[in-house]
Amino acid sequence: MIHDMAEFDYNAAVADIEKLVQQMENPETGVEQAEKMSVKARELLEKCRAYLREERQK
Amino acid sequence: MTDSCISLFELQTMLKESIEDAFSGGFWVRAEIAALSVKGNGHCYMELCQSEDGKIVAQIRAIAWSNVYRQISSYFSSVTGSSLQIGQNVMFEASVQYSPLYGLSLIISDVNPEYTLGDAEARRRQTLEKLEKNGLLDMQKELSLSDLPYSLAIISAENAAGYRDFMRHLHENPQGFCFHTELFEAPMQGSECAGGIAAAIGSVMAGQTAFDAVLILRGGGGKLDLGCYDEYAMCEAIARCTIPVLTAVGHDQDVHLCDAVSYDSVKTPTALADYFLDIYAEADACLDDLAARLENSRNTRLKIMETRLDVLQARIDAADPSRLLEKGFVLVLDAGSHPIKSIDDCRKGDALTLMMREGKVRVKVEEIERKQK
Repeated sequence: MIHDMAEFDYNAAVADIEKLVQQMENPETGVEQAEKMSVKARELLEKCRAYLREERQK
Repeated sequence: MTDSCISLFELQTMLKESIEDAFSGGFWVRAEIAALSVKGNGHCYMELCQSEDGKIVAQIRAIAWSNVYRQISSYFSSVTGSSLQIGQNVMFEASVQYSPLYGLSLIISDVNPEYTLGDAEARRRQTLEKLEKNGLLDMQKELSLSDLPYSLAIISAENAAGYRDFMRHLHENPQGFCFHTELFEAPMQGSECAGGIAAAIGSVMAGQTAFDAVLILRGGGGKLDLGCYDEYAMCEAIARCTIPVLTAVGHDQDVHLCDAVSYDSVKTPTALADYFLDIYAEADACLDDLAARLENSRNTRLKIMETRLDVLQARIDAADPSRLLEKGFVLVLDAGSHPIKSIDDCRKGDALTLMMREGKVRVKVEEIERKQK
């Protein structure tokens, strides 16, 4: 699989994950909201890991 | 006038005697090797020259007979780590020979390799001063390497062991990190090395691919073999490159000028592969940390929820009357099934229910006795 660098911004994705984790770590965040954030964060993590390991469009 | 005419041979013989008398015995001479050829019989023929301001001001043929050449070439290599070759400044012990057939030659009898090493070091110092004066030493340091460098332009020779080591180490990494590499071939030693590498840097810059870094790879070599990595032309090309240039010129102790002007340098090509793999490993470790925090936040949230439920459970247990009955207490209820908590809630004749562990007893209030205060 070749990633289109124009479509995926690794640094922005890592920043998003960081933000999601911070929100999830806040006890005031609701359970359902936290679950949705968890799904989103995991998706982004998977993409970031793949980004390090797959060919990119130059 | 014609009576004094002599033959060419007589003239040459006179020249031979005059020259060889004037230069009898050996002497040490400094020169640059302009040409060098070892024949099948082992004799080595050289052209020695001296240049000033880029122009040759002196030149002479020199010969090292096979028995001498074997000794001096071996001695020279053992001290300098390099063979005698074109472009080197050398100091030979020689005697002058004049042949009526072949003209003037120097017959070499010994070599001083320390002079060549010292000369290389002096030239290196001059180049360093020039680089400093022209502001080229820190130009690369002002660039920044991308967070995750992916496209790498490699300047090396395809059959070089250092290049193969680098490629294997980088592309066969156990973590599966992916890189794009493109080879720009250049001579990696000798007189064409500096110009070749400078030209390769030019090709990288002129190409369509937006490279993240330029890598110069060269395996181990003798001091003089690596001397080209101190040349101004190469250093200038590195300094002026707008892409970060990283060098791995195989040597253990010395730092070459190409290392000094580059964005960064490491000792070996394998170490340079590790340089990039470490960047990726660090990024990967950050992702692992985020994943762990994600998992922890989920676990912590579940733990908090569980603790809240435990507290509620404890409160339910504390409020559950059946728990009291289990312990042998009796609960007294009025006609409306409300617990009677005070003597004031009862009147003579009221029908009450006594709740016990095993069941209920219906009773009637016959008498009320208030405790004396």
